[in-house]
Amino acid sequence: MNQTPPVTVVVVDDHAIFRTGLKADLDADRIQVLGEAADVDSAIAAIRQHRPAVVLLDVHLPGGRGGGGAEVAAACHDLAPEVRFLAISVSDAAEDVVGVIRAGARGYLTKTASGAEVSDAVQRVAAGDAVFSPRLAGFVLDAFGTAAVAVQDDELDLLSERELEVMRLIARGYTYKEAAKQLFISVRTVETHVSHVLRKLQLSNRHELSRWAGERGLL
Amino acid sequence: MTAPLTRAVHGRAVAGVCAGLAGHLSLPVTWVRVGLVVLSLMGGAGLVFYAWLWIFLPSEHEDAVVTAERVRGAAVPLPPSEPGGPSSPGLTGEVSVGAEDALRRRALWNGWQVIVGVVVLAIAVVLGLQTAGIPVSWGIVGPGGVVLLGMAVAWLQLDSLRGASRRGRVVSVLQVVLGLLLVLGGVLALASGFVGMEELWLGLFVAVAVLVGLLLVAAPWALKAWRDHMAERTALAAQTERAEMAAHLHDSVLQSLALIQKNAEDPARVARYARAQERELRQYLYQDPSRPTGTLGDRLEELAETLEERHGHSIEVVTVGTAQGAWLDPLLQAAQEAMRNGVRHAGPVRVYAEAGPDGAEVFVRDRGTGFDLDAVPADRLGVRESIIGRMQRSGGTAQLRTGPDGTEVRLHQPRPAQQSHPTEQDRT
Repeated sequence: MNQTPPVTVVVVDDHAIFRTGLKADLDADRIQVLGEAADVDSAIAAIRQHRPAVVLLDVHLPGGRGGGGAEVAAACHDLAPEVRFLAISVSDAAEDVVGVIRAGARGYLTKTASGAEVSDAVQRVAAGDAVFSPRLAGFVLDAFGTAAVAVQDDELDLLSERELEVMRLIARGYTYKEAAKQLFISVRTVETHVSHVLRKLQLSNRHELSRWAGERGLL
Repeated sequence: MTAPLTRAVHGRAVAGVCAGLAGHLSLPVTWVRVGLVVLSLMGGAGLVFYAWLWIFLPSEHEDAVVTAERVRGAAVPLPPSEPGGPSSPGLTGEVSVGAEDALRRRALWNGWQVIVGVVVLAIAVVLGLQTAGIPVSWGIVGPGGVVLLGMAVAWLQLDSLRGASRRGRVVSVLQVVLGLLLVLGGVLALASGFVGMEELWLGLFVAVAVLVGLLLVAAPWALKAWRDHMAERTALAAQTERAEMAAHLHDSVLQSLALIQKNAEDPARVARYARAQERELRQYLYQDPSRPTGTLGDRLEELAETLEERHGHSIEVVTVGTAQGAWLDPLLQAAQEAMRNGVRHAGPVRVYAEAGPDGAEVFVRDRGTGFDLDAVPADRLGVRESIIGRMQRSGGTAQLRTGPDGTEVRLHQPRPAQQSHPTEQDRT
């Protein structure tokens, strides 16, 4: 494990106590923190300066035009795929989560996730995969609906049968590995499905999606 | 303590001046009214006094109406544990606004009655004077009366404009315009008694020109004053909101933090307090009072909350779709038992619930070491009776999967035929 170089990270969060706690929690063998920032403008500057592999991005940030984490992700679009974003938030509100994912984040974690979980997620995002928490999977299922199924894989407004199954397992708390075992497919295939779902979430202009996220307060 | 001098809302006849005055002076209202009428007969001094007070005294409930509006507009978190919660602040605000409206309408109606009475009385007095042989000039009394009437009609709307509904506001504005026309007509009729028609038209033209000039100068000032006033009002509302928020944070979060500091050497307890506080705060911040409570997700969250408090392990609930009704009861009871087993024997638990058109499904998963169902003593009814038996009796199914990387209970309850709501199906 030690021969792979650590993943470089910039931590963006307006809450200084949380930044300190997170940096202390991250697995130092696997993750190297290059810098940190507390608001939209300094975050964009820090990301452009350090060019980390992954940005740990809080959803709610002061500064800029008031767009928070989504604004940072959108402003750094040109750095993709070199720089990837992992949203991390204490907010469970659908509009926040879906908003930052649609702005380009590759995954979403709640702040209660342990240091090891965050480190795993950072590595996964750095490798180009998507990270779905059970909560995010629940949002996706709720937003796209579980009744209708996409016939063709490239249909953006519906999930395919397999994608539905994978999302359900993740919502139930299964890891990718467990989900793969359950469905008799490889972990790689699970990752592909999750990435497809992420892409649909980002690209679909299914009109219900934004309306749904706005209406949905929180669970 | 004497009441402050305001125009009363309760027990007002026209504008509440007499009632307010009586309250302030601690006199019977009737005395004040009779006194004013007597004063009015002495060359109209009472009328002038009444009008003067009408303009300058604030209505009793002016402040109250502003706060009630704010309460109605703000998202007031309902305590979701109280089903139906009719005692919640949001609803009482609504009720008081409604009552206020009804009161205002009644007062307005009373005002109209009094005006009609006064007009009839005045005509009677003039006719009486005429029959008594005292000459009365109709050319002066008539238009003068019309002017007074117009003023009264317009002024009566003063209190009904604020906080009224859209339709009520239109009616009010129409009545103000009517009053204005009455006053204008009266003044013109009065003037036509003194000057010729030609001069009257010229004078009217000049008057309009002057008015337009005045308007042009004054309009930006009036607009600016209005904007300042609105900004102040918004700032005040925000301030009140903030104070409310601070009070809530003080009551809950600060107390919990103190509790956590006191128990710093006991991590399990600290985690439990933090978790309970987090739930409470989330509910306060994000609960939408307009959303119906008692859905599958809400009820699962509630169960999770009580179990968490009792056993100290976290229970994370994710819900997809919505379902409601008594048919969920057995499913929820079985889920509660499964969750309890999880937090008691295995640690943190994840719950996933999905409601669809044909039924609801709940998965309860822990990451304990698993257990052997056959090895559970026969007298322990937990899994066999409370989960599997209960689901079978209510027409549902329960499956149990257990192994070294945890246990998962899958519960399924079909939706009864008459219960399926097409609207809910559309949503999911």
